Amino acid sequence: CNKFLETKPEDFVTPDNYYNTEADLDRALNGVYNRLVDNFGRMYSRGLFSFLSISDEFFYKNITITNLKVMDFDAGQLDVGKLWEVAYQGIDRANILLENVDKPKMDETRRKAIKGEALFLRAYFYFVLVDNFGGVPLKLKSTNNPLEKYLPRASVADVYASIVNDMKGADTLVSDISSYNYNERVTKTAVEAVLARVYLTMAGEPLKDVARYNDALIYADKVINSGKHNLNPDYSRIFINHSENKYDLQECIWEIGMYGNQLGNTQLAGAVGIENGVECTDDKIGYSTGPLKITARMFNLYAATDLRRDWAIAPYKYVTNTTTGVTTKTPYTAVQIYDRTVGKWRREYETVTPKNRNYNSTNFPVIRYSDVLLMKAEAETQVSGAPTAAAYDAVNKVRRRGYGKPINTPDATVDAPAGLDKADFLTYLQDERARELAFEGLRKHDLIRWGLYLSKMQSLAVDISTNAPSGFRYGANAAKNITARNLVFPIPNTEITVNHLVTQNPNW
Amino acid sequence: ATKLITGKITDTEGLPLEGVTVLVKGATAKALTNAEGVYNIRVENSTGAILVFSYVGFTTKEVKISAAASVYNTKMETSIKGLNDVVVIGYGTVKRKDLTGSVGDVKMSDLEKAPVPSFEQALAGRVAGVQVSSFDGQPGSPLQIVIRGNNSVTQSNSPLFVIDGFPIENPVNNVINPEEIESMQVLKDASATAIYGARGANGVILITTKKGKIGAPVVKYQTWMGVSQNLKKQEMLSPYEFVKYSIEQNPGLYTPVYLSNGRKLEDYKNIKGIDWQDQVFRDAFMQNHSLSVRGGTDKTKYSFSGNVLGQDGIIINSAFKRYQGRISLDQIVSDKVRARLNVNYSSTKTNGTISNSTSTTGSPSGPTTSLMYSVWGYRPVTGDSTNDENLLDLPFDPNVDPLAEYRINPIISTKNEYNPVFNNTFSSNADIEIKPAKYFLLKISGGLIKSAIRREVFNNSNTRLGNPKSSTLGVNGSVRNEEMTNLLNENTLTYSRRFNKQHNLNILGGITMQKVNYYNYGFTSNMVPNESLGMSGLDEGIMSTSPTEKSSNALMSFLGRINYDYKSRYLFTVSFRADGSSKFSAENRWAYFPSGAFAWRIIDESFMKNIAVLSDAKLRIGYGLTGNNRVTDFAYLSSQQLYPYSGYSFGDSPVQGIIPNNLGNKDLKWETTEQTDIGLDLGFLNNRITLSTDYYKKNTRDLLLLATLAPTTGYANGYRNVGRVSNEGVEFTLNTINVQNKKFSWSTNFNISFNRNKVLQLNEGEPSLASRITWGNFNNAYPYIAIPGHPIALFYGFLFDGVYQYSDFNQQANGTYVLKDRVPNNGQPRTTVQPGYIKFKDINQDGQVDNSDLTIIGNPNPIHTGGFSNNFTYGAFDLNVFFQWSYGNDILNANRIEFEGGDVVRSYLNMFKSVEKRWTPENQTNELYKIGGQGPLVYSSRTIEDGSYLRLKTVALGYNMPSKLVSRAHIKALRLYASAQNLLTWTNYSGPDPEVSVRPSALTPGFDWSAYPNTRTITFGLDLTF
Repeated sequence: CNKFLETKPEDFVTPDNYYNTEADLDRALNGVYNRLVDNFGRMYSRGLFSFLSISDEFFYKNITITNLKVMDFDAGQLDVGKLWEVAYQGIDRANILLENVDKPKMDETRRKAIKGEALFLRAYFYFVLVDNFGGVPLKLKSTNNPLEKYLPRASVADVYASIVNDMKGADTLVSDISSYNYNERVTKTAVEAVLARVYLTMAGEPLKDVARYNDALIYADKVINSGKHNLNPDYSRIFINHSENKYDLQECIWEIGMYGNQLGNTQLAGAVGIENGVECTDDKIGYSTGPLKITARMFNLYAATDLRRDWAIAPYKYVTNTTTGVTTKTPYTAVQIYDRTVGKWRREYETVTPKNRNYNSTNFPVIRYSDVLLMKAEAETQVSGAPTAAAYDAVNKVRRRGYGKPINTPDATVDAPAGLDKADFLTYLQDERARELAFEGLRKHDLIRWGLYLSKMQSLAVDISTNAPSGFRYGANAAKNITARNLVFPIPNTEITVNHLVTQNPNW
Repeated sequence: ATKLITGKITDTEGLPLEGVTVLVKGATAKALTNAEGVYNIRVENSTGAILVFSYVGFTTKEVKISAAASVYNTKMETSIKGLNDVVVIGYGTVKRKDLTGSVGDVKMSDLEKAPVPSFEQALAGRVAGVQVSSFDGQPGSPLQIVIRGNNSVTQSNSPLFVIDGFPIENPVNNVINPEEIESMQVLKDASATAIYGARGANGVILITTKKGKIGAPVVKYQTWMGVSQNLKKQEMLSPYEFVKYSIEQNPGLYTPVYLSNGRKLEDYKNIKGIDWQDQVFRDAFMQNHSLSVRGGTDKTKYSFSGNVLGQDGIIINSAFKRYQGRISLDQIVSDKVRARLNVNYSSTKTNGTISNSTSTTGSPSGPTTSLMYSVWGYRPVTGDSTNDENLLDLPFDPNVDPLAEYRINPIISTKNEYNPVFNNTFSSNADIEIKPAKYFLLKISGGLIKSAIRREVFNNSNTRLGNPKSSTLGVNGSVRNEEMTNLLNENTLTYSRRFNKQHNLNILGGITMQKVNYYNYGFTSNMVPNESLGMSGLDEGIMSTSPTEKSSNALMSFLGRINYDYKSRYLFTVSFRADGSSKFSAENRWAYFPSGAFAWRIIDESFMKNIAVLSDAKLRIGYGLTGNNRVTDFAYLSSQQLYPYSGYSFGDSPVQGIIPNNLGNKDLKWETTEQTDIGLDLGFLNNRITLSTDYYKKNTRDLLLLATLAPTTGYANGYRNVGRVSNEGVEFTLNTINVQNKKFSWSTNFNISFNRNKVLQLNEGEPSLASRITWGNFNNAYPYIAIPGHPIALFYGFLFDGVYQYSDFNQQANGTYVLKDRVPNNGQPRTTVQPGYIKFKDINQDGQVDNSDLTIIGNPNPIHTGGFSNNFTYGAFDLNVFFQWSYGNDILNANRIEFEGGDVVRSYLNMFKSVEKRWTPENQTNELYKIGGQGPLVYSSRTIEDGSYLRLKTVALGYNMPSKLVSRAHIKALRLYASAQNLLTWTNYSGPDPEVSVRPSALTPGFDWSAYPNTRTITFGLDLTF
């Protein structure tokens, strides 16, 4: 009679009867990649370059109080909690895959690539976590039962050790970028470029493991010497490509893939160019309320001749006449600085129609070749104790491209001033990174590792409060609300209320 | 030939009845009984004539006169539920006096007096311990029924329904025609419910439909028609007050709008403005027609019945319709074999805007998607009187940015929304009874319920969710089909024997099997280009599949029960059920549910003989274990699935991704409720007064808890057997016959129940469980909390502490106000706080209001609930007056958050009249903050209100036409009646109606947001019997 009670699930598979073919592993791996795009916007589809990455680059339009977007929040904050959740979902998915990767009979090269990508992604989710929360529970096995015991926090050093271990493992397993005609997949140079970033982070705050500058240099050089990458001669083209769903494997080493407009059967769209878009209410051009207003500090970092300024910061908005319905591109006046919005990704170039007001298919570049060059310059200077010719060369290539000049031709009008000492050169590099990588979700991360986040935000608060037009002085609120505790997010209440082994970050 | 017939009429106890009317059917002769109960009557053509005995309060009885006899003594049974009435219990019946468990009876005769589309709507207040609450007044919407408090924290607490022997966990009860219900019993304690084992913990409601009776065919036509009205309109600002409010809010914006062309504020006092509620609400008509033919011989009994019901909702374009038919046959095949069949088919259609829904997809989202937001919020005047009328015809308020919110002309939107739900349910149940040997009865039954539900949605460009201005999905729609098959086989063997006239033994054993298959599928379509095609145009839009779901569960059970009594004085019941369910892994599949009960009919003891006033006294004690299996079909298995959002995109082409979605728990097992019940049934003055008292204590352990998991597991939650809940309470039911004489009678039923619900333990280590409400707002605040030691749900938030006054501030030289150092802020930065802003209590007195000042701000659980029903008869008239109440429960009135200033200040939005109490420099009240002073997005005690109410639920007046009159038209009986539902409500609740809970669950009761208003209904009906 027990047979009557043996109902079989017809709607899903259980982990026990899955992972039998290469295709099974592929689908499971896609599920791990999936967590890089949270459909509610907490990862690279929205949050990691906007409200989860508040720095001195921009402030949120018309948001003045009680909001994460002005850094007024606590450990119960939903989006911070979701960032934590999404990262650990990715980790659990990677763990299940790694535990089953040897199950099917299949081509070993493919298996190695799958294993390597899963290893890297697990490490990358931990990198996002350690960067934003400090030491976190280090879970390297999948969850099999709701009754399992929870884990306490590991130290920052232990988490980094695991990240490095996984990424180094991935480096030997994943395929070369030349195997693909797109860059959303984790490839050898992507692993190495990110490793360089990981090492550079380890060398700075809060770990201050300065020996890692050398490792950062080694891995930056690996990417540079691979010969697979180069700068796109046209800075704006990099981002237009994203909007047009085109690929540039030379410049963009690893991108997060977004697809479609969220209207049909696939829901993998993001908000790059919307959350940080040019103000426009015309659905045909591409809607965005222009939520991210830029700071004068950001604007003033650029020379007027720096082509990157008016690309990263939109010099115009779209205005729709309410009676005629006609939309026109309306330039900002020279005094309208705080009015301006981020303009790096412009919806007018998008090709997928109909354009959804909240979702698009624009990819987000996690790491670009110019970043690798700037990392090399920074690591080399730290290792050598003074800016070397190679360091100058790396930064100048980035600068020349930014001014629309030939990349390999020295140009005194744009090249970094010669003869800087270590400190000045590093300061110069800091500003260069801000200029080159503006609004790419790196500024807060960089400021924290340089130990400058608090001082820069404090000076920003003064700057906006005193110098901004009165209507924009609320833009200082986020900076005003930042205190020493904001170097990390609080451990979310969703974790702490259940997992009593986890301790809260100081002052949260 | 004429013959003198005589006889004595007594009640069932043998006491003579005086004043019984004796008639001869179809003749004019009439007699009354004397004080000894004796009558004499002359009967012409006596052979075959029928004597009819009738007496107020007793069931009319007919006796056929045979040729030989001339003395006809008879006993009449009281029509008030008597002790010898048969009560349906699980897998059997028992006389009321022999009951050992706690079983509540629903007086169907009372329910029938004020007809409603679904029996659930008439159930509130009828039975002690049964709490019935409506979500809101949406036609066709189900009600929430909870018996003796919530056992389960995260899972369903609705009782098991057994309809003509067919157990169903989640029936759609509006497919049943209430007029076909013969009896309804509520099994409350473990002794009564343990026979339903794993499904008994939430209580069991047994419904038996009407069957054919021996006799000539009785044709009955019942019809009623009614009109429903909105119970209470929300009072809004008048045009004058609205304009004044607007200008106070933003003089720069609104002065040119409202005060141009020489218009003065005072002028608005003479303008009526648009009353949007009047435009959207209507007096709704409803009608019902039922026809039945019932009759039978001693071998065959039959019943055919059918019903057509049409109910319009009081919001335009909302309605409920039902077409239904039932056939029941009962055939005695031989001395030993009897066969029965009962088949029902119902087709219902529910349509109309779902008033309390909020769209969470896309932006703008938030409260602005809900219907009542637009109804209440649309402004009464535009500032240009020639334009006011246009506002009624325009889909949008031209001054409101459709990109910022969903506010749309509610008349146009409601008329255009298309969202019918079609439910076609077929159910059949057949059984055969065989007497294989003396004392034995074998019953084999088989049943099938097949329901097909189709949900269609089409949002065209004139609807809230489909207009291209605010919806990112454009014109959109969807179809969803749900199919459910429920198969049942039950086999029971009963041994029933009386030994030495003193020992009664009844043994029941059985095996049952039940299987449920569920399947649903459908698709949605966005950006539909040709909206004029409606549903058939969906294929032209951007299609997207909805997940296809398929699932099944099976239950196999062994059950047994022994009833033994000695002289009907000492009664024992022992029952046992073993349930095996597919919902658990093989190791935990089987669970055992024993129960035992003892009843002592003290009245039968010799020492009680001298207490004349007492006519009944019975003590009942019962104890048992019951279970709850309300968990998803495969909760014990980890699952992995592919979703439209679970893949990734490589090379700008999407690939599928498989992801875990449920973390299985192989150790999962049943939730167990242990219940003790002590009851005392007393009857006084020959049972003219009966009082039933029950005390119960339920302890639920190993809760099937959808426990919150630490996110580091990769999962948000998982089922665990963890946590404990207790419910303890007392119930009183008092029935009295206050007056009973020839012309006039008055009887009352009063019941009251007290339940204390307490969480004893939650998820391991979790100090509390907070719950959010989706109404599009305040998404970071949790208005509910469950804390061990307290009820499952409590309201949680800040304590409202009035409004900041000037005295709380130091005025600076430049005229600005700065909060005094000793005065705490309200959760906003101190510099933001201004005079007139909302103030919260700084509980820990640390000088600032923050999350550590959150506290319990209300209790949604009533202290007691009950009903008070009165039946009067005067001659041929009868009157039923029924009150129902709930006392001590709080409601979170979220409407007031939005319409007493708003979560944020919105443009051109009307407000509730109560906004007149707002703080202004001229009127420094402490009740309501100034415009813009609403503070942070938190819940506070300001909008927690006492939800107690006493409601005159039913008044029904009926008149039975004299049979003399109607018999000329070949009509046996004709009854005319008028009834009113929800005639009066006494409550302090400021919202439209205190009977509201738009997000009902054990964790989130008593939330009011944009509820479909409840109605007052007047019906006129007629029952014709041929």
